[in-house]
Amino acid sequence: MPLPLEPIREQLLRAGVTPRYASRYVRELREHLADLIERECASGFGIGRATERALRLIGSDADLARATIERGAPRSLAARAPWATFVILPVGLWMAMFAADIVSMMHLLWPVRGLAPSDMPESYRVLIALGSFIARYLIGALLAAGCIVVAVRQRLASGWIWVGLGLIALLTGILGFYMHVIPPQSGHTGEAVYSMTALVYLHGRVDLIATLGAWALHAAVLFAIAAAAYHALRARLMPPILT
Amino acid sequence: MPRQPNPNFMAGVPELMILRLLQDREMYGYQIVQAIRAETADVVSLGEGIVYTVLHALEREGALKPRRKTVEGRSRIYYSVTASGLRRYRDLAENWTTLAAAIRSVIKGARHAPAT
Repeated sequence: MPLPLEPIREQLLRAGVTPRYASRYVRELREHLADLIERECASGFGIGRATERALRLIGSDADLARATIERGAPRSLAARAPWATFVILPVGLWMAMFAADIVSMMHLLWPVRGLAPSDMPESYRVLIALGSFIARYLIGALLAAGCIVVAVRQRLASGWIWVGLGLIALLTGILGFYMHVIPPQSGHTGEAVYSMTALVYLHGRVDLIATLGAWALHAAVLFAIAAAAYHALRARLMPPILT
Repeated sequence: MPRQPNPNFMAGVPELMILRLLQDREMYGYQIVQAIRAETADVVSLGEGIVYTVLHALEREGALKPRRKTVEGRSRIYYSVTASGLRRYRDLAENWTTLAAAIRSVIKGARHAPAT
């Protein structure tokens, strides 16, 4: 059974009201309800009857939620501009974080440029693995999680959330920080070269179909994980409104 | 300039009363509802839950300032009037005084009108 007045929060959130405002309104109503119950108890009513009378005095959940919305309760940016919150902002952040990762890696790996991994100190190999993990998984995962948290917290069901998750998955699937090891050949020692995308080589040449397939597979797996997480959280945290 | 028709007669009444009461001392929602009831001898009764929509709207307009305060172990949001709220109160009070005088004048006129 939901806490008293909790359905008001759900109705406000689903109307696009900011979670912060919805929480404050419900908290004040609960404090008011506690005062009314105290007064009714002081008038001689038992706690059950006093609570019942206090809830009737404070007003119905639907009326209070409607009055608040009509009075212009503040609406969240995600409700007013979901395209900005779930597409422009995460994609922009993704690009900024990715650029920061690549620039940092270029700067940090400068002393070992051209060296084969076997000739590098261990710390550099760890650094390459870390930079690769951040660009290929962490940035996308963090931003997708951010989108999901905002959407669920604000009870939004906009199609822009799917667009945003799809774009994050696509970017993360195509771009990353990759090290390619060129094996030693006659007259040359092996070396490591770096790229911002995964390239699939067949017979010494980049195979376009295989490369596109690898990007698509990576993006599809990330999107499927994000979609499953979003779907599960929505089902768990967005129950039907009980009035 | 043509006069605007009078809006709903109760429009602005909760704001007027809240802004007047909070000039004397800061109060929280429950106290405000009880004070309105007491001051008007139960003639005006503001909905217990509706008071917060009015308080928050006034706060958004800059007429009220909230602050959380703990008194006797209970934490509540107390509201006080700002300078902008005082100006808003004066405007509302002037409108209501003019309207009330006009209505009183009509009632007196009707009372003294000869029976036909």
